[in-house]
Amino acid sequence: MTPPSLRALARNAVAVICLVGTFLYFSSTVGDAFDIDNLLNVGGQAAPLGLVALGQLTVVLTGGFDISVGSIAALSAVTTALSVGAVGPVGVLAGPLTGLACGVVNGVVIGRFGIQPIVATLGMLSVARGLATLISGERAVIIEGENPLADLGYGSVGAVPIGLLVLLALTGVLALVLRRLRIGRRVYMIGSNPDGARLGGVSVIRTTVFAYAVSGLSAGMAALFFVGRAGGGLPTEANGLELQAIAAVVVGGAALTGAVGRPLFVLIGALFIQLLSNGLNLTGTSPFEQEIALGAVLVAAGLLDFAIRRVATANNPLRGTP
Amino acid sequence: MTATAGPGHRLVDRLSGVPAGAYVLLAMVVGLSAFAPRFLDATNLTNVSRVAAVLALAACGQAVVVLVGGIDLSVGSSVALMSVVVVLNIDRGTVVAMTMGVAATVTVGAVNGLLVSRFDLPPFLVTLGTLTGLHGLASVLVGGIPVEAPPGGSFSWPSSGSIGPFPVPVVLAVAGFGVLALLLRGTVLGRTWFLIGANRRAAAAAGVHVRRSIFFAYVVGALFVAVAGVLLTSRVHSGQPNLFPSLPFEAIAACAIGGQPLTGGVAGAARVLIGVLVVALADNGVQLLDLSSSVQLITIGALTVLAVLAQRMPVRRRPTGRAAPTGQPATDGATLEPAP
Repeated sequence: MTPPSLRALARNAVAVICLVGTFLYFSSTVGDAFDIDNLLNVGGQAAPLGLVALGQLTVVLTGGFDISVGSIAALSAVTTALSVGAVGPVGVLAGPLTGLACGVVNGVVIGRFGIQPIVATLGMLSVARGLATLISGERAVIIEGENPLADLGYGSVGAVPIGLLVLLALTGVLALVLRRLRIGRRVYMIGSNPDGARLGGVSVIRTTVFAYAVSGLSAGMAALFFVGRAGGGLPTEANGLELQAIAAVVVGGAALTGAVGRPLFVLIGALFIQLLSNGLNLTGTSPFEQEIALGAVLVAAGLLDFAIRRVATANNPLRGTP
Repeated sequence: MTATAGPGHRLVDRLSGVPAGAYVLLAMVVGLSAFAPRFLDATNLTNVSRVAAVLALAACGQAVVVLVGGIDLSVGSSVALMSVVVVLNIDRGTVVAMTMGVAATVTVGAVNGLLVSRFDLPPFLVTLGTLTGLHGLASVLVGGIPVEAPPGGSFSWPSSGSIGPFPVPVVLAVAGFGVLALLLRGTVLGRTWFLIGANRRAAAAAGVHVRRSIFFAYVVGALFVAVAGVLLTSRVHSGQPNLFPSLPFEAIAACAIGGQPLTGGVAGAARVLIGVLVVALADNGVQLLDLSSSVQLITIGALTVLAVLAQRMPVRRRPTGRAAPTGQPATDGATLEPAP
């Protein structure tokens, strides 16, 4: 086996091992409550996290980060609830559109003006959360009457939650876009070598805007699930979602240096994070201890990334930093 | 990749000598004096400086970390952890408890530094992890609810006491700026940070202990944050897991507004001071003008991005497709652009 494919195998195996290991651990400690219904339920609950993680992957592939997704999701949830209240069911479009708009702003600020992703999305994190609080009047915006999004939150086809189906479908869509479409290939190209991509005629700016737009859109779509569950838009929604999303991406084997990562394994990474918090809930762990666990997972995933990179640089003395 | 000096670079150098934040600060002082009559009151100005002192110390710490191309998001949780540690150990005496709190904060810095320098992990990933994990730890220690400290004069001295006519926080902040300036200008370690931030590979080639220096950047940064933590703990007089969650963001905003690129290689006490004052005045202005806290969030976020944008304006003609990943110096794509 050649080193590159071994490396890819190692990266992708991490998410699967984490997911299976967590499942085995909790099915032995929790017992009966950890059955197939619960698993499907976890799959449905993972929809918003999974969506945001897929968007985050697109940005990470270009070599960037998006830490504003939690705030964008909160803003989108508030605009969704407000516009559903104003114009009825068609108002649900406001969520994805809000997310898309925020993502495009991020992309333009980063791609066109060359601001570091962390500064730009830090600014958006603050602005979007502030806007969400401002337009909601600092309280939850409740949807009066029937909630057109209730099925996203609680509905299922047979035993399979709609959330899980949507998540699987969109994972497939993103995989196709990244693998088959020109813009998808360009995302990998600018992440691998931006100067090379530019010389090859790729518009780095346009591709960067695309990646952040996908991330913003995914946060806007995740907001629909939040509104579906809560029956309204909360300005405090999705606090710390970006952290979970980045953890899912790293566990899913994406390299934070860009150009390496696949949607399917990021999906598995997101399912792992959701299963972990579900299992900890069922074993009666406090939310604070779950935070410690999540922080540890994040750092551990980073350390794994380091170990895999070590294997990579061992074969190529010119790579890596001193 | 080498950056060639082209036309416009001299202009950039001269403009970057005066951070855009300085103009923003000037505009804010004029604007607030005109529109908020109470702004120039002695009480208000003393208040601003007391509040700004905490941010100033945190920003000094952040500046050191950002100088080597890093970032520290964990400071919000590490001051919270400190307040909890201090209050839980208050029976041992104020000084001992405070020392234990400082030790906790510095330990956090050492762990961050170790993970970043030894294992080459992206700083933002590591500190995001410690941000979450330590908030959890601080909450677990006190069961999620704030714990009051017993009343006592020595406990509240750091935040409300005075040395002569000067409030203690202001004295500490001024001392912090002094120490920062000394560190950056007059010590081998400080000069080493500039080298690493400007070009890590060149620094390594020149024989600099890159890993060790980066490690110490996080430890020194944590020391500044620890002093900020002492002030905060003393002010709230309790151990609070949710003490100041926006502290890292405000500190990073202050650095960015002061004209410090997050790619590293640039830092200065004066820059930090400008950034801190802009952020503190933005907070104060929002309060004086009776606007909601959401406006404050929007202002800080927009100010951060706009200030950084303003600093980049002169170099707009260069193709800047993507900023370099954190932890590495920015690469200049200009040399690879085909000749027109």
